[in-house]
Amino acid sequence: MIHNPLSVNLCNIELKNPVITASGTFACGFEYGKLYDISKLGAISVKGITREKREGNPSPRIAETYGGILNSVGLQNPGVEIFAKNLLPYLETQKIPVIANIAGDTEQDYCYLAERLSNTSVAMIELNISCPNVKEGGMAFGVKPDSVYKITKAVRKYCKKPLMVKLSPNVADIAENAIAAEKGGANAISLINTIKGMAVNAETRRPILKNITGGLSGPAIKPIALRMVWEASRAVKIPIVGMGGIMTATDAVEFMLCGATAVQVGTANLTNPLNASMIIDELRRYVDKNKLKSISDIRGQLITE
Amino acid sequence: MKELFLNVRENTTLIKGVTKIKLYNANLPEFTPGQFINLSAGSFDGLLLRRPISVFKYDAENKIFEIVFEVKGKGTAFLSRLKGGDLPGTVFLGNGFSLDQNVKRVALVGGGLGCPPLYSVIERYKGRGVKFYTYLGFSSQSKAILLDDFGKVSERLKVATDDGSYGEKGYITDVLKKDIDIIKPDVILACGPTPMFKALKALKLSIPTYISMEARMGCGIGACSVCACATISGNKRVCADGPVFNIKEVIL
Ligand SMILES: Cc1cc2nc3c(=O)[nH]c(=O)nc-3n(C[C@H](O)[C@H](O)[C@H](O)COP(=O)(O)OP(=O)(O)OC[C@H]3O[C@@H](n4cnc5c(N)ncnc54)[C@H](O)[C@@H]3O)c2cc1C
Ligand SMILES: Cc1cc2nc3c(=O)[nH]c(=O)nc-3n(C[C@H](O)[C@H](O)[C@H](O)COP(=O)(O)O)c2cc1C
Ligand code: FES
Repeated sequence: MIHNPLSVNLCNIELKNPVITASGTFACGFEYGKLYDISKLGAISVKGITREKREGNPSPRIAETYGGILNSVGLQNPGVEIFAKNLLPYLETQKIPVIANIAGDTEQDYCYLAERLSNTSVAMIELNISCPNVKEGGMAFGVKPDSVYKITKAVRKYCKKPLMVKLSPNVADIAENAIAAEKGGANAISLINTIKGMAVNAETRRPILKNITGGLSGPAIKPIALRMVWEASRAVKIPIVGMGGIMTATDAVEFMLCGATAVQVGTANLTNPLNASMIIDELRRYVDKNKLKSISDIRGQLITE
Repeated sequence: MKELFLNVRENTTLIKGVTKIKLYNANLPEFTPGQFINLSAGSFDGLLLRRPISVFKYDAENKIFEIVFEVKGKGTAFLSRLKGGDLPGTVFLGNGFSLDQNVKRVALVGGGLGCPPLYSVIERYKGRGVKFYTYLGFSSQSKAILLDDFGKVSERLKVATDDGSYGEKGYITDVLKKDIDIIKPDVILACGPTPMFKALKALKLSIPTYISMEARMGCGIGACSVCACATISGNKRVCADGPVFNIKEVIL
């Protein structure tokens, strides 16, 4: 077999490259599949899945801020059964590892979803305890280290796939939360989810989002995301998937230098639907130029002295 | 649907604050009238989102299409200054307006910057013996656009302004109501602001009516769910399930 310097190993899952499309910006890949061959992606993290169908929040649900976007979609999705029956089969034909991003109102919801999806072809489960746009559950489970530990431990029992816990940046100490997830039995950590924020129209004196607040993503949050990946990676042994404002391969490399095994690309898909694909191509040029045997060689190689 | 670099071929100021741009690419895909594009607005000023803009005219032979837009904020201000160069955009998006074989008489109702996409419908169906009766509403004479273009291809063109400075004073939907028994349309197609759709719905006409909705968008291709439009059967994506919906379906 030809050696692929971009391949990375995440919880014993072989990814063709470290680029994963982030939950909520890529649906289940079908739409992007009309624009490029999505089987080139390292993996896809699908839109947050709940037990029942959800309509999400009222529109407007997106606002543009300087170097960032705020969204308040609020986990609109067709529910786990429709996902398993109608959406997952398409992804199976694409032969890419699928990461099922799950969310619920209660601990039981998360356990149920983890168990249900363990009986499907998904490669991994991503526990979304960090959505700032829903009233019940969501971020409430992800703020305090105790609750991160408790929910991870509970879900672990029902989850037969590698379990990745997606951490919220809206917390006091990211390292403590990372440790809590690891102790609870997480196999990996992904971070960061969006940062709670808001945007206002000075003329109408109204918030731009109908939901008033939303989650900030994009380059505006990258420095915070890098810092959190750095702090988390020094606190735990399990692999870290970094994200927050990655627009180019250079951004992805920065996250890997700070300790990320792989990265997720979210907002960049909205800026240009080909961005995830272009980041992979650029990463290939990066390893060639730097004569790296493997992209993983740069993981955690930040020079600090 | 394709992601392409669109070459800016011509930039015309129609009236103060409204620009028309011609865009070219040798590989333009098929186009359905009423479809839109999701156009990059550059990366200056920290802009990340593309701007959804409808297609005004489409010339399949020369691989050129035109857009008409109003300068609202940073993105459209950037676009209005373009004189050349290439801009990435996803073309052509959404369902668009399509007419059944048996439709022979169409009433078009446009409000402000909702008018341009209606022209693409005439362009497509005019040669197939369909007659168009066009009703356009603007806030004032100084805001009226595309009257010559629509005038040339419509059986009848009526204009209303809020302040009465041009055409009839008041809502264009009231003008349509007065004419409805004379023009007897098989279908009504509308694009404009929500209050216009509400007024149209309030007429309670028994004629099938399709409206092109607006929503703030992210991806523009149906993947991010931000562009929700409330309908009687739950939230629909304006970019992929729309932008054209049956007026009966939408909760206005
Ligand atoms: C399907 C569709 C077709 C459209 N066609 C046309 C057209 O042919 N001509 C025209 O003049 N305008 C059209 N619009 C409206 C146009 O997209 C907005 O005026 C434009 O995005 C404003 O961008 P801005 O940067 O100037 O304003 P800003 O207010 O600075 O934009 C900030 C953000 O809000 C979004 N936004 C602001 N107003 C609107 C709006 N009314 N609808 C959707 N998003 C908005 C922008 O895209 C951007 O993401 C259309 C909108 C949609 C959804
Ligand atoms: C429109 C939108 C929807 C999102 N939906 C989800 C979601 O359902 N589940 C989740 O875990 N994260 C969701 N996110 C967060 C992203 O997956 C990602 O964590 C965040 O946007 C930061 O990465 P970015 O800056 O590359 O976008 C969403 C983000 C956006 C912009
Ligand atoms: S804009 Fe992304 S789904 Fe419509």
